[in-house]
Amino acid sequence: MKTATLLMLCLSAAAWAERPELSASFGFASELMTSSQYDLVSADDPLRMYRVAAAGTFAAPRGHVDVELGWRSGAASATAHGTLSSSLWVRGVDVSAGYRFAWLKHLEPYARAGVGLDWASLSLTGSSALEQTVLHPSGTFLGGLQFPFALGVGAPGGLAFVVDLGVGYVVRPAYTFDALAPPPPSGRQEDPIARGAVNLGSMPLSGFTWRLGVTVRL
Amino acid sequence: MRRLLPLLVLAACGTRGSLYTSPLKPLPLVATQGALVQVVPQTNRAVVVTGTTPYTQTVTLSSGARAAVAVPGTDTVAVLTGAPKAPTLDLVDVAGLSATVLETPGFFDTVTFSPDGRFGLLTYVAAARGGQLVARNLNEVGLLDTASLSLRRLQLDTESLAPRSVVFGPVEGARRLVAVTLERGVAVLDALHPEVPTRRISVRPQGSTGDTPVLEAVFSRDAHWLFLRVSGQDDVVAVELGSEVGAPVSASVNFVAGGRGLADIETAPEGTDDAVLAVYASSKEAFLLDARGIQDNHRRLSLTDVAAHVARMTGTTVLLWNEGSRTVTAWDVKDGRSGVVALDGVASAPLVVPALDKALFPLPQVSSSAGTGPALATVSLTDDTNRVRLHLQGVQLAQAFAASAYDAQGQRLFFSVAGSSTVVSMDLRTLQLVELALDATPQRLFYLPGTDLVAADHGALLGDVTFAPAGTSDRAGALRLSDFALSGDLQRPEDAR
Repeated sequence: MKTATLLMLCLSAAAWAERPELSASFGFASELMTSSQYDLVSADDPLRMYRVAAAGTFAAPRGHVDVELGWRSGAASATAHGTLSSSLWVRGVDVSAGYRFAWLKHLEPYARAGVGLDWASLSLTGSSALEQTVLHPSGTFLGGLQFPFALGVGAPGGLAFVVDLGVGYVVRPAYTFDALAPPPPSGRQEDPIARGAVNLGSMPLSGFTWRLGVTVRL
Repeated sequence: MRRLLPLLVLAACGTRGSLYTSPLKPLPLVATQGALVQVVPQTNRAVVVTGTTPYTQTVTLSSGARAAVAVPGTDTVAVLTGAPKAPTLDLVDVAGLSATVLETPGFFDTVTFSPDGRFGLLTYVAAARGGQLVARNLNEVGLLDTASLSLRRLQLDTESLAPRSVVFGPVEGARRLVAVTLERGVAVLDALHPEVPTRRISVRPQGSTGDTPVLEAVFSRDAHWLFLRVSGQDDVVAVELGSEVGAPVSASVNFVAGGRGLADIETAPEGTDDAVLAVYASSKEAFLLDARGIQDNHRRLSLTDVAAHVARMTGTTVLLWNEGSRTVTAWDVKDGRSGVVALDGVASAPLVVPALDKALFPLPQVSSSAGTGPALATVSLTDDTNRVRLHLQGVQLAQAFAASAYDAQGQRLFFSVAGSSTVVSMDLRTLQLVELALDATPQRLFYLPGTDLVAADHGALLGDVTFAPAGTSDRAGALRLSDFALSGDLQRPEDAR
């Protein structure tokens, strides 16, 4: 997928000389975590995330290439074992490239691939508070439809409002939470007692995803 | 698109299994030589915390863990596991982080180990019922040999329900007797020859038509005698055991009379093997009873106050006391010398240290010139020409004595007082005190001889323990581990799902 994206970027090399069309987007994504381990932090399967991104669009044969830089954040929480408050925060940055073409006036299918870096923070609060943050790379593969609506009376390619609906898959290595420990005490503490860590195990965080977003093309 | 959306919505809902909604109910902490072990039946894990590493380790167990017992003197924990129709015993090697699974002949409720850890006897508890089982044969026991890792079913063949207690006899050359006390009588078996049928011994006082429940059993030093204290009887039941090996042991029952209100019996000191110590609360007497009932051989001490407990000290001296009274008596059963001391307050259960000829009595309330409050009284025995002298020393406590642990090798007592997060180390030879302030109140204390650490259990459901080097006041060497019962919670064995 990455190779295909690079190929598309090369094919549109001529377009790079032109000023890219810029866009900003905001969207909601739901990643479906079907592993039993995810039940520790959620009563259902989705990991709900919000995402903001900025993109540059370049002309390509029969369509456009979007190069996007995004930031996403989401969380799930639940009560575990009847006594613990458990929560999982996932935050990440990603860079993606996608190809889209105009099929109808208001319909642009697209395919997109991206790589990112995600931080997952697991915290358990019972008689004490334990937490651990683990960092891993991620990959996202999406296909979907964009519904552009021109704003104003300018020529095509001017200011536009776009509704984006995509489905795909997010790949992450399993996150190993092997050292959940209380957070370090705030402030200076006299003669503190060292705290040990708990090895909880691994939580798979890959799964199908769908996105719904809005984009403003400048 | 219209078809895809409902699918996505449905997929987004998902359901939550019961894996993380059911409460974790860990079994009580078990201390081995160098670690604390917490068995979590819901995750099929034995969580090992040592205090020497800042993280937890786990051993995967068979499902259905319901009781855990440390094998004395080892780093092994025996865990009763399995289902009622497929019961098992997991022997967890804490040092090697592995488990050996043995099939057990019954869905037993508990296991009692010999003091040397060589044998374990798996028994039922009548009140425990049996899960889904419709019927249980409470007269069967399982004999575990930890040396050969063999487990054998034995049939006690008595009229009683489940055993009340298990007492292992002393180590002999060719046999190792085990007494199983019952609602009706006692059964004796040879752990080294489990193929030999069990000897059932009825305890039926003269004129009685039924057997009497056994309350306490002690072997003599040479396993020639088994002494029983039975319900409603002032006589000590002396069972003379034959020396058979490879055949059911012969038993001759004799009732030995002493005083009135038999409260406690104890193995007689060295050199008096054909005798048993007995203390009588009603008649305020202590006896060294001749096992054959020869009155002339009895030795008797008349007490100034009620005593209900007796313990051997060094040599031929014994200590007598009663929880709830102030008087402590020492008696040399050989030469008849004795001595008495009055505590400053009412005694509660003491820690007796025979090797040092000392006993420590927590006193909930004492009145002295320093005011009223709890104290810890140390009674030390010293020899005088005409009597046994009891030397009394007191340690003032801020609050009532709470948890304690004992280091037999180093002769140290570790204790805490109610409502305080401090653990006190007391050198029993010098009575020197060292205090270590922790961050939470200990509910129980453990001493781990393998690593010379004291572990304070703060009593949290999912585990909260502070380890500290024994006898130090320095917090720098301490380590606290919390919520460690959650270890491996994300790595459930397949059969737990």
